[in-house]
Amino acid sequence: MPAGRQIAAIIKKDIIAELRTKEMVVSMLLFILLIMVAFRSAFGELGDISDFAGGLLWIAFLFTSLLGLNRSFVHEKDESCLEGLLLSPVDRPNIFFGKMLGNLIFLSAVELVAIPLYIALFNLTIKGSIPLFIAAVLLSNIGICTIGTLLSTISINTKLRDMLLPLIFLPLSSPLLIAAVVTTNKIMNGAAGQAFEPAVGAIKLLLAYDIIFLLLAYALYDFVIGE
Amino acid sequence: MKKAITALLFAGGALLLTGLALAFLVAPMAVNQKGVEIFSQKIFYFHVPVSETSLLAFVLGAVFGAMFLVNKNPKYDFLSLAAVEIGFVFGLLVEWTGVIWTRAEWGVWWTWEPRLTSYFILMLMYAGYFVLRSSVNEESAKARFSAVYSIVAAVNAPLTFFAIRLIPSVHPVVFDSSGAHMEASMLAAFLVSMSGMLIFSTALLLLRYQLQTAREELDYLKNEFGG
Amino acid sequence: MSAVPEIEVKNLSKFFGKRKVLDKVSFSLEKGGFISLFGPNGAGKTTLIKIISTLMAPSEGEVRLAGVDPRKDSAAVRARIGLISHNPLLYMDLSAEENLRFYGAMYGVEKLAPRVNDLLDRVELTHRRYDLVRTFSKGMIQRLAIARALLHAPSVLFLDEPHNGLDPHAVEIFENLLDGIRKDHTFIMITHNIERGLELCSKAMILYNGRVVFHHDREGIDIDTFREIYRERVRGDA
Repeated sequence: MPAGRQIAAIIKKDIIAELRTKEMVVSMLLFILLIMVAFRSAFGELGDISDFAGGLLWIAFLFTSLLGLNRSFVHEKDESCLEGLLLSPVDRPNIFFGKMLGNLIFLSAVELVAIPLYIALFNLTIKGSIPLFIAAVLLSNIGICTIGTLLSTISINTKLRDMLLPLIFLPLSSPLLIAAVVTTNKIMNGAAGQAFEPAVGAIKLLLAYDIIFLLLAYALYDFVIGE
Repeated sequence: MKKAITALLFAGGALLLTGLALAFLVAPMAVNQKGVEIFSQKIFYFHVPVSETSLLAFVLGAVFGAMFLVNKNPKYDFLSLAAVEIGFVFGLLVEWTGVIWTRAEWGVWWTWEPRLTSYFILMLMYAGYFVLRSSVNEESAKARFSAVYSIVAAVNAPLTFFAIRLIPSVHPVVFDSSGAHMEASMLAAFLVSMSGMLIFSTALLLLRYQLQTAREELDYLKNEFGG
Repeated sequence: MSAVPEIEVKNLSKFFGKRKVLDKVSFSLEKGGFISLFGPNGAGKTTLIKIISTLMAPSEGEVRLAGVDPRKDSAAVRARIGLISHNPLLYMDLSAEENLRFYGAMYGVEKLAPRVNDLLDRVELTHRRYDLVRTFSKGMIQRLAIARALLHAPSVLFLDEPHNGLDPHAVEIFENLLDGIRKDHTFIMITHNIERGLELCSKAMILYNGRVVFHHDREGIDIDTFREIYRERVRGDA
């Protein structure tokens, strides 16, 4: 069975469903906007928040991703469609990749709107390299979606359902959060040379995190999705 | 099994007490750079063995988890649970002794010292383990999800430790296991304490494993005859 | 007579913890056969179907489909089976056509477009192909579920109480479709409807408390006899 066709079919299905209902993307975007308002109220007095702008950004993205991750499995579970997927000859890891890539697309789409908005609303600038900034965001997204898809598959099958996800996802994503924040901050502040060192380490950590967890999810997904 | 556990408990307990005795009575007082004696360093003889044991227990939890996934034998699930519990309790002790040390040394209850912070996040991760277990009723799912989670958490631990060190301008590392630079008598106290801790905790693990097995047996009998 | 039975179950047991849900179930079904599976709720019928259709792993025992062990080659087994249960396994926010195209891709169906057209036609849903499943009536949903199950031309079909909640029109379409594919297809149907069940089957089976308490060829069994047997074997249940 051609894996590519199956993975593409899963992604396409999720995109079509989302374009129709717009449940996920709209709620995620609204959530980010609300967080920005909260930030504004909290840091109103400060003129320049560029020192910790990265941190604020990733807190917003991390919490928003929870919304998206939960939704992506709710439909499968509610209408027992997961059973339909499991009955088909698709390899379980392919289900993972399909779901994970779908989540990645949605998260990135929301960020595509949110980041420029954020920069504009708080008078920030990206003093460092923009391609590097985008790369860092993408690497972090991959990490979030990898660990998030694995964990949301687990959480949707428990009594607490989507309420469990924050409890297990947030601690496990701490290395991601830290690395993403360090990198983003440094790039936005235009740090160079010695000062940029931590960001290099952080990017390596992001890469390591992504690779390790993609492999781990590939190996373990069978156990969380079947019975 | 019972005899072995009792033996281990006694051996471990004895070694621990000896180690503590050595630490307080035989090992010389540690002296800091200014030549002032620091009594609070003594906590090192307890704190480090506890932290090493905790990490080892988490690794064991992951190993037993993996064995369960391969083998499907519930006893590996019980062993994994016991190991994670030991790791968690000992981890709490790490935090607690760390807090006491910080208070004694600097007069504050908490600093964002890398190791303490890493352990804090680790505790949050494993707290999620217990929430996960309690939110699944069906036994095979509970065991499967816990096994996967224990593996993911254990892999995440070193990544977290690296990540914390990336944060610039965090408090310098204090709790280092670089105890190799110790004098002979200090080293002796440390090693005795360490081995005592390991043996003692193995006994605790086996005890907990037995308890869990008995509990399952009891549940089964209740269902069969209780009605 | 083909040597290898289409479905073969040997000493199949399933435990949830220590609770036994299936206890040494054994039977076999030749190609073209039709088993009607009866039994009270909680007897383990759905669990049995889930295990044979590879949704669940057995605790003990073996399952073979056309001689193939699903644990060794699950993809091959899954490609040959179809399931129609009370869950339609359809995506509400997709259209009828999109649902079928999705499953077609998952099953690697060749020449998908004409196949989709053909099936939509057979379940009389061509006029609603672009409409979201969310807007369908229960009968239409069930008809589409049948199309979904038949899309990849499975040789074995599992039916879990398929008449449940169907309106007469849907029942008619369903029965016609069933008639059309009876030859060369193997069926296991869970049902509470003794008349229909006995009419359709070549073998009747009763499952009670996870055990096979009756397993016999259809010949020579009329409805009343069967009712007697059922009452006898299934203590205290209607």
